[in-house]
Amino acid sequence: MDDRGLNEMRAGEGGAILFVEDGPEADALKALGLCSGQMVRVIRDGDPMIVDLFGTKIAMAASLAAQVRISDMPAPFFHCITAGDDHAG
Amino acid sequence: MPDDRMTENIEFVPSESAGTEKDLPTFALIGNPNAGKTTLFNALTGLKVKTSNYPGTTVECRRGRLHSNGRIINLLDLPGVYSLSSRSYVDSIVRDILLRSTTEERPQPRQANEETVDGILLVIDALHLERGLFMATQLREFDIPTIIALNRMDLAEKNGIHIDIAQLERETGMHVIPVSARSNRGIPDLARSLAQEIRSTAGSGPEEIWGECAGCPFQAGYAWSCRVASACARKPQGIRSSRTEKADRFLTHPVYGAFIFLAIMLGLFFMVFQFAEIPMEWIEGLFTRLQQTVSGVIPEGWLSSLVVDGVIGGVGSILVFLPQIAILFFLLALLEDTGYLARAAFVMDRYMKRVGLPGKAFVPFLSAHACAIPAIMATRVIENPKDRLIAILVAPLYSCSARIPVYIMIIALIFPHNPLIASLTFVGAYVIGAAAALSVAWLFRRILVRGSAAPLLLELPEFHVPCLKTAFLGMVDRSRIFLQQAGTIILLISIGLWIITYFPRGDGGTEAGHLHQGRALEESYAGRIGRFMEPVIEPLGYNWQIGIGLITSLAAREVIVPTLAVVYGVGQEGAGEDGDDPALLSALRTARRPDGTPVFNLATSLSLLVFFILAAQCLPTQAVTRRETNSWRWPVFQFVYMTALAYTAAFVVYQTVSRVIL
Repeated sequence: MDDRGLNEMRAGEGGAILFVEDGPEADALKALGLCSGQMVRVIRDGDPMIVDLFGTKIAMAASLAAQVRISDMPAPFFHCITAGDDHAG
Repeated sequence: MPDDRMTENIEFVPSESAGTEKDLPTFALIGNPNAGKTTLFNALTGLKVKTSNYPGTTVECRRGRLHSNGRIINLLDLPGVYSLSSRSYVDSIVRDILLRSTTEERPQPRQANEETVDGILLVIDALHLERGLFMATQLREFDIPTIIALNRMDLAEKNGIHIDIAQLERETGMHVIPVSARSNRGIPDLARSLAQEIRSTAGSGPEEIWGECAGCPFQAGYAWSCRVASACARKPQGIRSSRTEKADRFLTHPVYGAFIFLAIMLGLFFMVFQFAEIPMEWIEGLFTRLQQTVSGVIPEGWLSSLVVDGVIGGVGSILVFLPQIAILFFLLALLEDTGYLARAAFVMDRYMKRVGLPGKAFVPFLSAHACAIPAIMATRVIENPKDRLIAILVAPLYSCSARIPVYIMIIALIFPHNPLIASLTFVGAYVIGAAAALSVAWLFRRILVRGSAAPLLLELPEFHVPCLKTAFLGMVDRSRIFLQQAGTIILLISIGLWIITYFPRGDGGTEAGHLHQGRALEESYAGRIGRFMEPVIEPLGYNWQIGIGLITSLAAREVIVPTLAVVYGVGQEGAGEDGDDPALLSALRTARRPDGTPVFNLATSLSLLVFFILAAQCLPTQAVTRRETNSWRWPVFQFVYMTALAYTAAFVVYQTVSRVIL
């Protein structure tokens, strides 16, 4: 499956997280909910950037966003798509 | 109508002295940083709260008590966390407390720092169920009775979110109580539940997962919490965050955002200095009256001098900054509660990164322009211990308000008739302080704690109207720490400095009044130390009289002004209010060295100005650094490096200017 870093996405783009690469802050990213299966949408791109994750906003350095790998495929099995967030549509 | 009895609080008794203390059940408040935990804690406990470092750590926790159904419950407010599984410092401390408290194997002999809790109050933001429920999955393994407080229910309802409490209880297996800490809604219910036996059931819990993420608590936990959140909460489509998102378009913009931030901070400081002026005058007046009253009661002699000059004068010279500190804390707490400070950290991150500091360091640094003590206390927002240490070490280099009287005195001395150059020098002093702080931070990043600043990662909370009560209680809390921490050390320093400036005492000689004051100081230990260190400070262009000022100003920088007034025979009252009293200035201008040249020539004055910009002439700051780093090593290091930096810079300035001009 194709994947790219969350840091490569532009504002308005969204996608499902495939996995989070190992790194010093990998746990901190996952603790915030940035882990496999979740949908994210970029609100502001650049460094640092802002993403939307189940209705909450997370600001992060691009170096961390690069650890978050995003799938370009639509992902029908992810629970939070139905959580009623405004980007879920 | 909130039941007042439920939130009523009893006298706080420190744990060492209370015999029944360990028999009282203790509940730990746990929740995400933006879940409204502090407001809920305040609603449950009220004013009598004790804030301290958790034993053996630099993590702050707050303790209070709740009176409910005839029982007293200890509440322990732990720092906000997103998980208990990560390797972060705060996570591990909270995890250790819970591990010690697991019901099966409670270690029998409790040591002072081996505190355990009997229950957990998990605070969940009803607007962000997913993240809060994830914390519930994290708590399962500890097997500690847990109650969920579902906070911000009023906001959730206003946003059209409906939450099925009964289903939430079934899924989590925990008792769920909807509350709204701001409006006190549900607080009596919650208090009652805390006083009752807590029974948890199994609940559904995260399922085993397979594949790449097998065994990962985050993936399984979030998958479960997202499923439960969508099953228990009905949200309307996409109206909730639109206002926050619109505001964020400007507030987090790389260019507009930085300007908005600067404008907000300028406004904040304007308010700090504006509103603090009148209470500062009150405090000054109060201490002057107190001095007059006491000197009328105690007959003249050493005791009277100790109380009037040593204790009241010394403590007053620092307490006068309390209004500024309190107002600063209040406004920052309000700003934080709106959700704006997270945006400020976001915007400033790209600039602060260049000197190796996180964006969050910017607010403490701005606070340092009022006083280094609240700034060092405010570095708690920086999670990474290394980043925080650097911020603590360099914060006192920013020009605080205690330096203002010193700057005014010196600048009035050298540029009396040139307001333009005088103001430029004044601004220059601030610029030198800020530049020094950033350069030293950059340097420390390279030699002291290597590596780069922790990359930015933070939640931007929804904007909302700040809670005045939380900000007010936060201000009271911070001011109390300032008084306790700085107050006791200031008292000791004041008495110590009084001793070295008062003793030894001859028969007083024949001169009267101000001349006598000056002579007595000259013969005191401080005078002797001043003479003794004259060879050391001579290359900076200072004589022993200035040396005495350097010693006395260790209590607070501005004390050098009245000290010079005494040394040069104008008397303490000749110091004026802001260091620009004509009597003092003319005395300083006419002061001569043994060779007949003026003492305060341009080179010496500029050297003294530079010394006061950079030197650590404030022992209370070191006392606070000691509290915040939990070691004596860093305050000593801070004092030594700042003094060395100030000495070197003053040396260069004096030697250069005296060679170029003379």
